Amino acid sequence: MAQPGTLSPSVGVSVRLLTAVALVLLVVPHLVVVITSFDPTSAALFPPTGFSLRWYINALERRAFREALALSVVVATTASAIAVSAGTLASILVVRHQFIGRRVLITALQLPMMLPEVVLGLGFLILFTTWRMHVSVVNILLAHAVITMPYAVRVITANLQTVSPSIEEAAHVLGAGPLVTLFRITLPVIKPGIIAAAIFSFVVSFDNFTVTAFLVTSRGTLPIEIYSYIRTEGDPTIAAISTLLILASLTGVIATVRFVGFERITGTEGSA
Amino acid sequence: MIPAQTGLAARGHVQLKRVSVGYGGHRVVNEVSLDMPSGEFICLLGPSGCGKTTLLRAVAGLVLIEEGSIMIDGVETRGLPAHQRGIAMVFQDLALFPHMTVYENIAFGLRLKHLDRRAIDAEISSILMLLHLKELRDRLPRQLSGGQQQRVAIARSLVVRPSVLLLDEPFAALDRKLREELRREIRALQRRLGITVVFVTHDQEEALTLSDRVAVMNAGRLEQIGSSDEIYERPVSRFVMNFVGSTNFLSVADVERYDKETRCKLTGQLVILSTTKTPEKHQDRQYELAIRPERIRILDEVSPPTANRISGIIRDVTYEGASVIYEVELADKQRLLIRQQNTGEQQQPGRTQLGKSVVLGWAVEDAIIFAAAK
Repeated sequence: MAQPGTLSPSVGVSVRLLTAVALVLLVVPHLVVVITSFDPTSAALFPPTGFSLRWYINALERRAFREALALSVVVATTASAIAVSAGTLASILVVRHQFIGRRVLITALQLPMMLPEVVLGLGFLILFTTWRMHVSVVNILLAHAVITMPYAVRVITANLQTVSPSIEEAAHVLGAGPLVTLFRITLPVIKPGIIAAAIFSFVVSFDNFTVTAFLVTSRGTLPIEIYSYIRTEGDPTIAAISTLLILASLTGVIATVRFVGFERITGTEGSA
Repeated sequence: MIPAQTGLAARGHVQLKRVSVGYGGHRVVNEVSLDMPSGEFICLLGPSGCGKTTLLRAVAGLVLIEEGSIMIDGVETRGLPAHQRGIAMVFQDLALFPHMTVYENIAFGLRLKHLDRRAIDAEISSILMLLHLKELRDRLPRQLSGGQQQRVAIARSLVVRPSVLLLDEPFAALDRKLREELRREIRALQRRLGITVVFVTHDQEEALTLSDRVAVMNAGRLEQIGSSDEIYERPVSRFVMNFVGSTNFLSVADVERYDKETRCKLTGQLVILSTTKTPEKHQDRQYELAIRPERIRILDEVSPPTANRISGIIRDVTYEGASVIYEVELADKQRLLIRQQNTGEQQQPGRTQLGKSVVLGWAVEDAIIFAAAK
């Protein structure tokens, strides 16, 4: 038997090999996109035939993309704000209180993450049509708030579970009512979880395509614009946008890890 | 320094009347009545799951009571939330606010009282001094040692000048030396401030050394309440005798009660005890003689005569330093433990004593008879 924490040589080799394959599969598509974005021809060739920034300029100069980006940012920000606020309260309710229907609520909160997005998108479309809600932006916003909520709840719940309820009780005994305890104790203590939840929700909303596609009537979010562009044009403008998005994501991830720590985000931390 | 409470009538009188607490049909605390006068240091002692912590949390207002009443200084607390009870509590895990410095932790309760900044500063300075925390005021809890965190938790509770301080096994996680030091400190603080302290512990030594009175709990009920020596010397039940201190329980036969003394047979030999320490005799009951290991002496030729004598064989010897524990087997194979002070006068304890025949002796008052555990 191998010692715990060490691997026998044969297992070690195959584990390393699998890890390498997985990493290659994860990284290579991104690299291809990044490299293609610098190709000067409109054929999006790989390997590229030269070096040019013209597709970056094209991407930044197109009004449709700029508007789509602005819309995406607005929707993602608002949706994650809603998801995080509601998610925080829901997490506190579910983690700190016992009540009839608690388990049902926990499942319901995770449901949007489990359901196929096509089903969700169709559901929202039928619902909004029935209610005669025709403002595309509002519909997308509401849908995104629902989609991102499970992620917010997950992260905040994980954080809250590491916090001993006795600190809230201690605040009560010292004279703090429920609201003071919430704002002075609970929320500050789970701040890392709240920030991580906000980032997660933002990314999930920003990336969303399927559900959004059902609800777009006029202006689309960035993923929708990218898709409609690629249907008519074959040039590497999309690769350029993608590269910029990869850059933004990387910056965000690094900032998050620096700021709150990886364990807090993934909820793998043992205790507070 | 914080002055002792003067002027107003003494505060901190806690009265529990037939208090019951239950979770989902199961009674965790069952009809406990307890009157704790102002300024008393009382320990709730019992095994884990006996309801002592739940009872403490009921006093704090953190759990609702099903029946009975809890009065603090004559005020019925039913419906009064925890933050309006004017008491303080030190939690088992201390519950320091992790995002606040030592100063902010201690200031939390004072700020809620809307004291001005100067007054808060003054109060905190004096409590920091009192608990030797002055150098640590700007540290976060995670930067403190266990003992320091403990002091911060106590300071945070005392600074709001509670009439009652509740402590839930606060020293359980500390090493022995630190625990003893903090016990002395909390006792001294309590005397100085004149507050009522309710201290939950499962450590009988802690309970006996700290408290004015000990309340022994078992399975949700109050088993006995009394001073440390009452609990130790005159336990009212087999449970208390067994839980507090160590005890030999020996089966006895032919129990006969007389006015002054009670006679019974242990391995066929006559044993005499004081009748005040014998339960009323019931039919069909097995009885047990209970006697503490330190009350039994191993007799030698020069020992003064004792009321009870019984012979046995040494089967085991454990050297503890200050004392030596002998395990002695009686003629009917029952075994008992004897604790002898290591005065240096006895024969050197050791394996050579194994198998040696000895005569054990104890006085009439040293043993108690209980109905046997079923």
